[in-house]
Amino acid sequence: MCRYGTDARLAIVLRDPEGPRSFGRPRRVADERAGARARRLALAAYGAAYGAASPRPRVSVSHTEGSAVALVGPPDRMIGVDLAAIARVTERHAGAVLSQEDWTALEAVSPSLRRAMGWALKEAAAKATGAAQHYFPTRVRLVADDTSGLPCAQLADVEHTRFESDWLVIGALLCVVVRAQARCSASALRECTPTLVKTRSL
Amino acid sequence: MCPDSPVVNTAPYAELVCTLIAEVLTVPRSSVQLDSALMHDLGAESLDFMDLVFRIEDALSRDIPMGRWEQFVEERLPCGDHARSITAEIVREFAAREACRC
Repeated sequence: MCRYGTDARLAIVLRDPEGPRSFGRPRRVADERAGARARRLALAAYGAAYGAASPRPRVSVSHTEGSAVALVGPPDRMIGVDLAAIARVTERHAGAVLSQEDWTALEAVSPSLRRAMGWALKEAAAKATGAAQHYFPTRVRLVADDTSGLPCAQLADVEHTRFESDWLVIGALLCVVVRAQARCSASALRECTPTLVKTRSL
Repeated sequence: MCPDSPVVNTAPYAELVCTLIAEVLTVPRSSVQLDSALMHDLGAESLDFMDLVFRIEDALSRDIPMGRWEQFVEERLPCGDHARSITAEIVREFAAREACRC
């Protein structure tokens, strides 16, 4: 459980590395259980900080291989999270979702993480919009941040929608969290794409 | 589906697609039916869909840019609950469409 920025809370639930790996429906159940637990933890921490009377927050959850992360933040802030198994994103996956410009934006990242990072940044940003299927992967592009040089995601078809990003490597997993820069709000995006964006809140 | 089963998938590419789904998701072939929801019933996640498109690409011996799957899902299921609405049948339709693409 940790703070993300000044106004969001992130919870991470990890699979027991000694536990059995499951596939198919059992995998889905294990992932959903971990996701639900992470969501509860993040919501509880957010509620403790801002009180039950605060507006209903935005929630983003991601899970893979029995582990999960949940990010909870203010209702009008576009936030997203993705959890990726680093070795699972192959050259072929990356080649299918990353353009030459995306690879250039990833140059500041360790080579061993670039593929998973590119994938997770795009997926987290797409989820932050509330219309992941519309944006992932081709309508999100990666650019290098002007000051840090680190990669950040930007919606390809909407102006002023750059996402700040942070990431954490936890063993074989990469957790990427993104939040839209302050001038870009969920309501502003809704005005740009009114038929697509559904603000996800509790 | 076992070879002796009286139920036969007659739609083009049904058997191929169900077999590929079983291989990608590491589930028994018998658990994949055309109405199985890939995410809800079989535990698929986003990388699995990409693997599935790759396997279809290999099976059909033709390039399938990822954008084509995105576009197909967006047109076919414009406002669906994708966890429940992307079924093996939807993937079969996609494979059949790609196979016929000039």
